[in-house]
Amino acid sequence: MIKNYFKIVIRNITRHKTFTFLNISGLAIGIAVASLIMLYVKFEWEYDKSYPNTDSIYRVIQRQPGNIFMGTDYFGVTQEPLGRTLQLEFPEVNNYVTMSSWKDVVINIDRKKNYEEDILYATAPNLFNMFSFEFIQGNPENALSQQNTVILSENDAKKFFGNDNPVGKTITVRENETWTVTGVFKSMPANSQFANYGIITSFETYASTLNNREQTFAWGNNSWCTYVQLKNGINPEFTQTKLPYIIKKYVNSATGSKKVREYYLQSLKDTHLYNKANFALNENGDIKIVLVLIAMAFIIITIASINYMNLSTARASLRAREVGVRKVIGANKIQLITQFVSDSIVYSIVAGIFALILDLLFLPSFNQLVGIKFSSTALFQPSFLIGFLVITLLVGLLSGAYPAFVLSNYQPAQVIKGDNAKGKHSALRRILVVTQFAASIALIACTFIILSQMNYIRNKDMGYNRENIIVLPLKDASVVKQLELMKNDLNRHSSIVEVTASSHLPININSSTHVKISGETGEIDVQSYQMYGDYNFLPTFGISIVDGRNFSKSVATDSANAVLINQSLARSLGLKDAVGKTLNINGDKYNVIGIIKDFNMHSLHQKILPLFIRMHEPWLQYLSIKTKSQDLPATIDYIKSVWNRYAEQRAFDYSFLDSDFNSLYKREERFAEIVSYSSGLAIFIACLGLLGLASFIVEQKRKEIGIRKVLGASVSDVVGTLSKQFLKLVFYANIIAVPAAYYFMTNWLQDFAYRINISWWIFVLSGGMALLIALITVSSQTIKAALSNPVKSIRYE
Amino acid sequence: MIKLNNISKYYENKFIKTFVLRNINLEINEGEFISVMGPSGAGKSTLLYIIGMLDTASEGEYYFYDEPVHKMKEKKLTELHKSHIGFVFQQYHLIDELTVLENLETPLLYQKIKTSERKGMVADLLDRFNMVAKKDLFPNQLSGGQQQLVAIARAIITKPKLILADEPTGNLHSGQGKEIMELLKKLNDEGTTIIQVTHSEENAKYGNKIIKLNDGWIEK
Repeated sequence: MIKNYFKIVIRNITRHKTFTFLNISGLAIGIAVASLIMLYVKFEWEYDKSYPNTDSIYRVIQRQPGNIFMGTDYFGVTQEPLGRTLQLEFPEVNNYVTMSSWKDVVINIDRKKNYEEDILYATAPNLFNMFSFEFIQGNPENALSQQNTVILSENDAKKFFGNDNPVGKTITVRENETWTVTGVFKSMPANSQFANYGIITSFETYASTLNNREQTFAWGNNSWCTYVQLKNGINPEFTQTKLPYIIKKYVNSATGSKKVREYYLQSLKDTHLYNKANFALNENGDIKIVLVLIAMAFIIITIASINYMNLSTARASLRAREVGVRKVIGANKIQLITQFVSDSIVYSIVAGIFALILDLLFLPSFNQLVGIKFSSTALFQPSFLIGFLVITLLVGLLSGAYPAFVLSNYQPAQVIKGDNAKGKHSALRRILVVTQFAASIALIACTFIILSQMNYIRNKDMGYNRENIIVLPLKDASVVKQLELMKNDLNRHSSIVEVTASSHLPININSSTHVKISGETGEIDVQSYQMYGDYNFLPTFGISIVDGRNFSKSVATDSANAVLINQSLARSLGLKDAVGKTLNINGDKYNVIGIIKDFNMHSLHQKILPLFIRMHEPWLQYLSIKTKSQDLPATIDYIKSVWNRYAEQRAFDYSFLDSDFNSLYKREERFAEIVSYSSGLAIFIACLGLLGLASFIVEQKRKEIGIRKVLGASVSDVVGTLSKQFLKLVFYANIIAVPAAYYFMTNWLQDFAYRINISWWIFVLSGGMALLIALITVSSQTIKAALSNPVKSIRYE
Repeated sequence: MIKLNNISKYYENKFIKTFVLRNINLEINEGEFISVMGPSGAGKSTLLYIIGMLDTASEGEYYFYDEPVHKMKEKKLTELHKSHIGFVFQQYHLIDELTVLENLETPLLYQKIKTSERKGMVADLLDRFNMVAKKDLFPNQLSGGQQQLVAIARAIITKPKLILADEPTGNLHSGQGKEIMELLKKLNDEGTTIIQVTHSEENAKYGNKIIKLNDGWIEK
């Protein structure tokens, strides 16, 4: 039976080429998009869920109400003694891990080979037990029990030592520490927070590198990620309610601070996608992106399925006779439904094959879009293939169900006599077309709005200059010590205008503290962002001074106790005439020597907040070099030669400030790309469907067109009448699309402190664009029909 | 075999009933060959479809082998229809996408007959109708007469007790028409009950009884 069905489908596929092409290309794109998105969603969804203990692991995060930092007052970092204390105080805490990391550390192997790696240091062996590290060599219990020992991931071991046995070999860290390899662990999957960490050492080894161990490990220092594992069956709420006790007993008594803080237990399962805290071991995912992608997959699949439904029901009249005959010779309804559903499943399977090819072709672009490196082998893993098959079959089932229902309902007595159901179901078809175009137009409008907000961001005057500025991260203290010499050498080049070293770049200042001033009504305490700079900081970035003066080499005390504050800080402190006033910053006194004009020191999601700038060389982290725009390669070569003169051991990494600035909006860029690609695909697939419908209807109306022409209608009359009915649908679609897009985009823009107003022309533009595309699509068919010789089509009947 | 009591068929449209058949009383015995005649629009085809269970009467009772067809659910109807009745149409109504062999096979598929048995039945029939050489051709590669032969072969492959033929020779020239009528006659001789709708007096003579329909009434 099934064989018989398939024969018919295959013959139909090869006979009705246009119909086949339109359907299969639409479905293939839909399946390809959905399956790639499935790959990504699975990756993100399973992030950090592969450990056997996942369900019982919690991250401790703290909230410092009002201490808003980068838009949130939640912090992913806590104090070093916290984990230990929780286990001591609460019997339900089974295990704890305290950890942190160094990024981009120089590693030497055999004094020769140079690598820059991230190093994780953690309480061992707790880490290995909690997160179930698999040891290939060495064992979790005592691998890191000695100081200055280290374990490597399988991948890093191979990278550093090739096929030699790494155990017993040494690696040199930051040129002065030598650590012995005592074990090798199986590399963690890419969707694990440990994926980037191929080098793990113990807290003890880390501590031995510190000068101020006491202070670093005290209750006053919030720098560590703390994870706890609760006994099975323990409700985290139960433990969480007891956390204020810890704050009272340990944190407040040890630090003497009355700062309000709260601890929360965040399930490990939520830390990646639902993170709301600052600081984490890795860049976090974003549930919003995941949801947006799922929505896009759904929209595109739906549009493609609607194509199938519409083209199939439109063509149903052609198959009505077949249905009648089959019923006459004994088919029952179920058998017919089976036949037509297997029809659509065959279509979707053929489309699936093409979709797999599309997946392979577009995987690199998709990787770029979502920022994850999936290899093409991921497309052949059973889990993906099963999901892929499910999507394919589901698409077949969804698109086929309705046409099957329509077709199997034909009454043989009627269709066999020849009065087939021409006009039926066209109302539903219209509704479906409107749905497709409403979704497409809404997406186009969203794209325009997102792009104009991005454009607004790029062009808004941030209050500083970011053109032609090359940034070098100073990487470590040994380089900073050579700073003056480097600056002098750089300044010698004619294309270099200014050179400045600073602790932060003006695009993103992410350190903050409290500033106090004693006023008439008592002490005013203001939370303010802070950074360190030098004499050239303001001129390099073109930040202007509204009152007072910049740091000056001729005033010796400037490097010790001078401070520049921005207008916001002056306002917050209630100072009208701030220059000359004395501020208390962390217990030290500073003289305000100048007020600088407010500039946006974060992404435009945030308002301009108080900021002050001091001078202190050891904290400098970036060298910013303002160059003339011409002959950039030569200038960069020169900068590189200077760098190599003073910091040869460190790789020469440079970036342009404007591209760093753009990377602040990586999430938005990604969002914009996702939405714009989706809208392109959506309108494309919708037009495929429209093309099919138009060609079908034109075919059906050949006689009508012929008669009209005989009666004197011009070509444009005919094209007009035929196109009008389609354009009307697109017009209705606009009416639905506008409020939908407006609603979603208003929501999205709420996240920006500085944003565009959504103006009406965006909707006119997107609607007009859709209308135009639809018109071109439909015209290709209608014009052909209108130009045909009427005599032929009339005789044809 | 077939008993119709006061069968009427009408379409209702805004309180106006348009009658196609009125108070038809008819009894047909097994082995009969009946010709239904009458002008266009007399309700001949509708009567045929109602007897063939492809259409339902608006009023009246229909007994098929003493079973009340007018009370049956669709599932039972399909069952009864497919095991007892074969249809032949003026326009042949073969499935264009299937070859001769596949067209013949399809009714057997719906009856869920085993592959080996099915192949045998199809082969027998092809042989009997001298169409072995044409078994892999598609309907549009055959002449009208040949198509109608295939259609008849398809109608009898399930060995129905009753064959309903709606102007089977209407699209054929006289030579081919004669051939088809001879074939129907032969089937009748072998025991199959046949009801045909026809305009041709000549073809009507192949039957042993003529029913004349006019404006939905049976003319007595």
